Amino acid sequence: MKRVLTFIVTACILSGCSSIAVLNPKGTAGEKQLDLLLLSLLLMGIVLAVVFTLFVRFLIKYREKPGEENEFPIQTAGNKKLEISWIVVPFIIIIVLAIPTFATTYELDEPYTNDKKPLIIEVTGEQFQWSFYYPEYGITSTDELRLPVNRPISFKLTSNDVIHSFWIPQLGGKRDALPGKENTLRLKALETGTYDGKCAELCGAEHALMTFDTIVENKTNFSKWIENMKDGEKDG
Amino acid sequence: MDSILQYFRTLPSDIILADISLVIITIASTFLLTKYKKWNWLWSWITSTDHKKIGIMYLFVSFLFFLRAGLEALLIRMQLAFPENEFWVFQGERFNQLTSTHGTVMIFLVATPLLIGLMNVIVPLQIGARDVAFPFMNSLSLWLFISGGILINVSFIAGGSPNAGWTTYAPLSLKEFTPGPSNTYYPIGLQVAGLGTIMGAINFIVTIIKMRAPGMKFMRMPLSTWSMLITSVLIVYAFSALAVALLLLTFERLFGTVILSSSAGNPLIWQHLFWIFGHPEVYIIALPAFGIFSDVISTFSKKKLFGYTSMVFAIILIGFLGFMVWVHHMFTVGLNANINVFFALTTMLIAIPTGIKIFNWLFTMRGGSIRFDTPMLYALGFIVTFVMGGVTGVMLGSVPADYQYHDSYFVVAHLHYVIIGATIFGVLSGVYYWWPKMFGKMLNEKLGKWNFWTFVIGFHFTFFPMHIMGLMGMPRRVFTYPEGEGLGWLNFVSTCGAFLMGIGVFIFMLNIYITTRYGKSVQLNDPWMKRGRTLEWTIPSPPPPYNFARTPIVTSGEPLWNAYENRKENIEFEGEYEDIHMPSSSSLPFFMGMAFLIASFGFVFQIWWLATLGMLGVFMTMAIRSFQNKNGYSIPKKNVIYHDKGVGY
Ligand code: HEM
Ligand SMILES: [Cu+2]
Ligand SMILES: [Cu+2]
Repeated sequence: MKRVLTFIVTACILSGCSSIAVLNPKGTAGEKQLDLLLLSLLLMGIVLAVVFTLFVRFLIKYREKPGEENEFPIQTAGNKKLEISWIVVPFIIIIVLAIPTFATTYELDEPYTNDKKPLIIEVTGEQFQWSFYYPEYGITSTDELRLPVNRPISFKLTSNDVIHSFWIPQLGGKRDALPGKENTLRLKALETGTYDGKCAELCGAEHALMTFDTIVENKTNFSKWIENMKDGEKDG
Repeated sequence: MDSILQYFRTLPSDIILADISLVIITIASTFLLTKYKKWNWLWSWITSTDHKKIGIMYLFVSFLFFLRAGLEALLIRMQLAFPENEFWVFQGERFNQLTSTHGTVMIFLVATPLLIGLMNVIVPLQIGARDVAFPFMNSLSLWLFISGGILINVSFIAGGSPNAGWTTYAPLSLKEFTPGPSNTYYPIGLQVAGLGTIMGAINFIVTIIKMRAPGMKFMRMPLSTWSMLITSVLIVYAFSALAVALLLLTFERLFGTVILSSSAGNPLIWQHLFWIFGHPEVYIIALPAFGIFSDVISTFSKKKLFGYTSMVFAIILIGFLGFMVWVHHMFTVGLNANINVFFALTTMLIAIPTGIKIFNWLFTMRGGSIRFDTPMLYALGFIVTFVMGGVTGVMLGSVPADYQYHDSYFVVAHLHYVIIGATIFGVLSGVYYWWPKMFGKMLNEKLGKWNFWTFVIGFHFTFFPMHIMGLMGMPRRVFTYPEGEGLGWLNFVSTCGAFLMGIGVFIFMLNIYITTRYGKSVQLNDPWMKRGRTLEWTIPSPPPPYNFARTPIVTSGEPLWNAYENRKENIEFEGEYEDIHMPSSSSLPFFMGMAFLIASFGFVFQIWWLATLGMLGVFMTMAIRSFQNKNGYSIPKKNVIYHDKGVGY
């Protein structure tokens, strides 16, 4: 166990925890998911600590010592109290984890009300690229996603061929893009910057290369980009 | 001649290498078998209906598949050792083939049959039976498994391997997106192997229910037997769902039925059916391992299993809940929140019976007298590893967080922690534990310890970093990742760990070779220093073909241990010696398996005359079997007495 712990620590130091995308969210969905990750890690840490303590203790205390080879230890069939305790305690742990899990699941599923003015982006996956259509502005961008900071976004995901999965680890969890079906993913980017976007569902030979850049900008830069794109489409 | 040479020139170098080694292996084994006049010996194994021999063949063949899929794992790790690496030919399509066959072979042709093999050897011995209920069907199960396995394994050199992942999601797996025979091999090969698995399960259910020794009530059965009973029930239901899914995929690929395509059908049908099978499958390969660990931990701690009754109910509960969690593999497909929440709850609930088992194992050791022989080391390694895998399992059950983990390397880490931690450690533990029972020789303890430590340390180095890789945003099934995301050194560590595991496996093989060649025979029924507790340790190692010369009378859950406590050498056997009736061996299962193989090739390549020919062969062997009048043979009483008095006492 010690080996594992040192490993985590060195992993964090060497790579800098900041490069672990999921632990360093820049979007609303990503933040809520991180909260759950940390809560479950904490609860599970307790479980691990209990199990490993008992494990090490029993192994040291009850190993066969020289001269004991022919003894017969006392046989115990069980212990009602202990057995009930390890039904009840895990049950409580699960409830503690389940309640925020449920709440967040419903929360992330909640549609935006109109007064929030969500930006709708129609995302289409196809072997092996992503295209992003902004109905509000009538423009389409390929393999580059631009988002205004602090505005709620509603991604409408679909696919032209096989199943893909749309994932920007730093902004939030993934959602599949299915052919013939529309899925919605909602989040809000909280900081400007460039984030990696990926396809998470095996979709063929170039699945690994089906990445895109997500560029989160402030309002003026975003509007400028929109104008440029509109001009570009006219020229094209 | 020229055109043949031309054809070989078009092949990639890895396939040529595979072809050449296949030819060399075939020639070498033919030569050796002929030189040492072993053809008859080989045939006697192939046609055997003895559950011990069938079990050993299951173990042997699945171990060969394990080597193949393990080699693939090493190739995967080499391709991923560095960012933007280009190792040999394994990029893009070829990489997808590697992961797909690695996963498929490991799950269907390694984990499942390894456990079935071990249980084949052990279950009849543990319940005091002379064989399984249907010895002929048992042999047929084996040969269907082997012919399905051959099909999946040769795909690589005959037309291309499956390449849509071990989950083979539609519509990627449909003809439109993956033409050629590749993904046709998958449903047909697994259908044939799966048929054998279902038969095997029915066999075990009947055997365990009907053939227990007098006095062995259900609540006196050893945990290995209990877990095999529940597993068999799971197999019957889960593999039926798989059979339906595979049939749909086969039909769609061969005849263009539109069931799974997105145009007129629904690709999610595949996902649901596959995971209705797929999650119980996880327990199918975990429960027997739990059973093995229960027996091993109790034996090497010299303690009765703590909370036997709750252990049994925990297995039953896990089996039952195992059918109600499949959607946790589909949290991101966009089902509504109510559904996701329900399956999150069932997923978390399953942790409770699993926790019960962990604590019962721990408390079995308390107050005992623990020895650290290799089987026990693997059991202890299992507790540490499996608890870590279980913990990440609960984390994965938390739906919104799973939106992040899903389809990332976090899942790859989790699944190997549970599957290698439970199944592979379980099989290794069981093999070390029952090896002397199977072959009459102990495996070397020193090499065993080397095997354990290299394999386990290598394991944690390989898979622990994958948790972090997943959180850093590395999706699974990618053949490359960019420089500068900090993924490089983690992947490199992981690759080094994989090679250490490879060394572990090599030491294991070395151990088998050395002990088989030079080891001394054990003359004891119970070679584990008089720690044995259950019936398999009351008979000679290896047991005679009929296992028990006289019927054992069971009066408690641990008859042998009770005898030891009363200062006796062995349990009481009752009744008179009699002539023993044995099932005759038969070559039909072998031929039926081969007929299925021929038919399958016909279907895969849509050569209909070949398919018809193969199916005719299948029906012919069935007909022959129906009219056959082979009623087995008899071992005379005096031989039984001679053997029973001569050995072991
Ligand atoms: C012996 C050492 C092993 C190593 C180094 C290893 C390595 C890997 C790696 C790196 C992947 C991820 C491939 C990818 O997503 O690109 C993988 C996938 C997988 N492995 Fe292993 N593995 C090993 C043993 C096993 C065993 C024993 C089993 C099961 C009995 C297993 C079952 C699987 C499955 C089911 C997948 C998923 C395949 C897929 O994504 O379709 N592996 N393995
Ligand atoms: Cu993809
Ligand atoms: Cu599952």
